[in-house]
Amino acid sequence: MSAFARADGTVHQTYTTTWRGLEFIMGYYPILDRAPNGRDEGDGWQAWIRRHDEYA
Amino acid sequence: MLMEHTIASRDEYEAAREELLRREKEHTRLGDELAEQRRRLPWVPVEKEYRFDTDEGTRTLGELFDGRSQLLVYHFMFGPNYEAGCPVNSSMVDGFDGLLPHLHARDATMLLVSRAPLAKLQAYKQRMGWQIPWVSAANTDFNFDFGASSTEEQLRRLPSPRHCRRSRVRTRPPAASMSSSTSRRRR
Repeated sequence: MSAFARADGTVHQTYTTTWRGLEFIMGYYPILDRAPNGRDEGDGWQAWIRRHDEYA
Repeated sequence: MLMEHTIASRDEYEAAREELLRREKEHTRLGDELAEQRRRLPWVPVEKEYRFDTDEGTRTLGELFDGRSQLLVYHFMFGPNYEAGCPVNSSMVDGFDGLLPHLHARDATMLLVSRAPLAKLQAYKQRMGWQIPWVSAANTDFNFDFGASSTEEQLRRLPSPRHCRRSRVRTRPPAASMSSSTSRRRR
């Protein structure tokens, strides 16, 4: 994700983050972090995730 | 799978919870400090002119602000040859699509940008039921310049993102019987 600011007709890049830096918009993680099982991913980061209309 | 746990009295729980709360508060305050440090980063002028394909026609980066002073761009993994958007990226958009009115109230525009042609993005957005604006960078270097896309040369040096690899071949939701664990295994 990248953030930009615009002032007086000029655009500036102000911030960029990637990978685990994006966990702040993976809203299920902070919720699961408070559930008894936690993220329960083993070493397969995000391997369980499907599109919301594709979970069996 | 549930971990094995100590079973304790309410008092023992309260004592352990108090210790955790102390650290949770440290974490919260550190988060505030990081946010402040993030806002103090130096700004870099964007001097190149980018032209995006949008629902309203061709727009420059400045026009994507839509009259607000702040723009948050999520680089959504949907390459020109993908048939559907990345599942993990999709799970993220599910989380913030409903927040747009609140961001707008703070003078911030948020949108998605991908390299797939606009028609593909529009069709997938409809399937997912999202409201967020989604623009195509098919005809601009934007995603390459901001590190979200890789040239073929760069891809030879990097492992391709495993989460999205299956997006490139799937054309529609799989039948339940097709969702074998083998195809999902981390590679």
